[in-house]
Amino acid sequence: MSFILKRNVSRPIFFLFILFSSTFVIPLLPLQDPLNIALDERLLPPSSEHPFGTDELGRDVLSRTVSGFATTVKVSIFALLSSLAIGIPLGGLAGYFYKTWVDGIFNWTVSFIFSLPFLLIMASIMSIMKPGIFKVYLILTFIMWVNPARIVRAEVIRTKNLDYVVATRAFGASEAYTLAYAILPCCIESAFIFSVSYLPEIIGLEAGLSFLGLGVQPPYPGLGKMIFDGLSYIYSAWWLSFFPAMILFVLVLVVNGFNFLYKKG
Amino acid sequence: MYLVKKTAYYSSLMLGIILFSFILFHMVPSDPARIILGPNAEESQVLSLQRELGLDKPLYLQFFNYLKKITLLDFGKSFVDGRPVFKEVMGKFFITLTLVFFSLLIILVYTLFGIHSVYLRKIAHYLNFLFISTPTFFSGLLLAILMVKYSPFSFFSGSFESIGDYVFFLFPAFVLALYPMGILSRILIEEMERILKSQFIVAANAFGVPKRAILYRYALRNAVIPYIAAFSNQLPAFFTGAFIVEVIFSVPGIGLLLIRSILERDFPMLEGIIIMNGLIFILTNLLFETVYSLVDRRIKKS
Repeated sequence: MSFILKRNVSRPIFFLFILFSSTFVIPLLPLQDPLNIALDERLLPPSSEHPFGTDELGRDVLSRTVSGFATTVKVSIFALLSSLAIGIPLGGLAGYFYKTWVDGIFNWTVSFIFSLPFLLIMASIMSIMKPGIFKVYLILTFIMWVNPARIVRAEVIRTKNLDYVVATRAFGASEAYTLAYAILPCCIESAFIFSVSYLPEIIGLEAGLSFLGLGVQPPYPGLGKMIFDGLSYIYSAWWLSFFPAMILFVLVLVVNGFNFLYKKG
Repeated sequence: MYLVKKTAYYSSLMLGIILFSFILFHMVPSDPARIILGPNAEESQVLSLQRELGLDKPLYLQFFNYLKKITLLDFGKSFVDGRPVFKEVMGKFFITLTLVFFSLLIILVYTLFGIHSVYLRKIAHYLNFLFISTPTFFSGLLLAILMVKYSPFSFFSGSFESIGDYVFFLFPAFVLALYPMGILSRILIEEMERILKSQFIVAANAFGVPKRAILYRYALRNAVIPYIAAFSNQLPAFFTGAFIVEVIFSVPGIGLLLIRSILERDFPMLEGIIIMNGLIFILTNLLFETVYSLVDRRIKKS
């Protein structure tokens, strides 16, 4: 695991760590209970007491937004890490058996997953089950492993005929050993580096599922669900959906900004 | 030969999509006959409907029947109100595709305009970052809220009868275009800058070829292939965006149909949406493959 200590890998991991730990700070903030219903304070516009206003049941939009944000970040990061854990070995295998039937199946599966809109696949799978946040995580992982897998596959194809790999084999290492200890450690790095660049996509999909009502179930707040519910009040109470969408925007902007700076220098 | 191979490949993908939707909706724990008739129906009624729908036959026979029906474009009837699925889905797809077409035009204009000069490329570089970082939710909502407040064209009548409908469509189309616009423009600009540094451009400059000819005839023609490839890769994401945009602007396209079918557990409708979407993806990809081999003859040989 020495590759984690490398300078260019440690930064994305550090970034993910900061983002992830921010979700544990949120419950400590002095906010109102996001589930607390106050029917005499329905649909109040933003004020000093409720900076983001209140929703149709009098719940504080700020605390709901913040807790929805925490859920989104947690699920997205977990899905990202699990997709790496699945994608790296599968991509490694496909690259190692380049141009054989293993690679053929891999390529077919990848283009199959890419051939339908992600949201449509996820929504149709979720629609036959009882929705829940854990299933959202499972399906995000199921879809997203293709991204690191493709990168690792390309890297393995590039690496596998380098001299040091041939030397490893010449010393009598088995095929499995060569793949796991000689080739993969050199290819994992780029998968980790690229992983942050598709975090926005995972966040968007999570919000999209929640938007379709297949994510976090009420009464617990999810960003997408809040936006969807707020749409029916768009004429009278714009703050219901505007603020969750804004938080989503800020989150994606921060992740992309990190990517932008990271690739630059 | 190249196209035949590709066609065979895409047909296998299509078969995979059909199999996927079949497995998904025919191995549902709940019984379709039970869903149609409701929880209060008699057991004998359920059994007779099962026979009518062919649900008592073995699975592989069901799949072949299913395949046969789909090649005849018969997706059955909606569980909820008995409308024929194919007609419904096609009608909604027409609206979604119009939306997609509008935003394709916006993308094309923006990306081609963005490469015009060094300054424009620099501005586009930062704009692209903003576009890529804006979730459809945010840009869509912002525009929708503004439209509700200030624009006379704040709703879609459902058919393209008045000029207001077309004007209205520009707004959701713009929102839908934002993300692909950023990605595609970024790819085109990177590619252009790489090519503009290469030897043959320097040579063309030395021969005194006009700047505009160098940019559009020499460089753009070479940069266009990765651009087309990225374009076809963006298509599924494009539809994902279209679903969300439609719900936000309440455009009665596939997105609204999808959300309603999910809520009502209307499986034939969902199947129809999945399969038609797959079909559109495969047809457009075949189209793109043809375009590639026309634009770049080298692809055919490899």
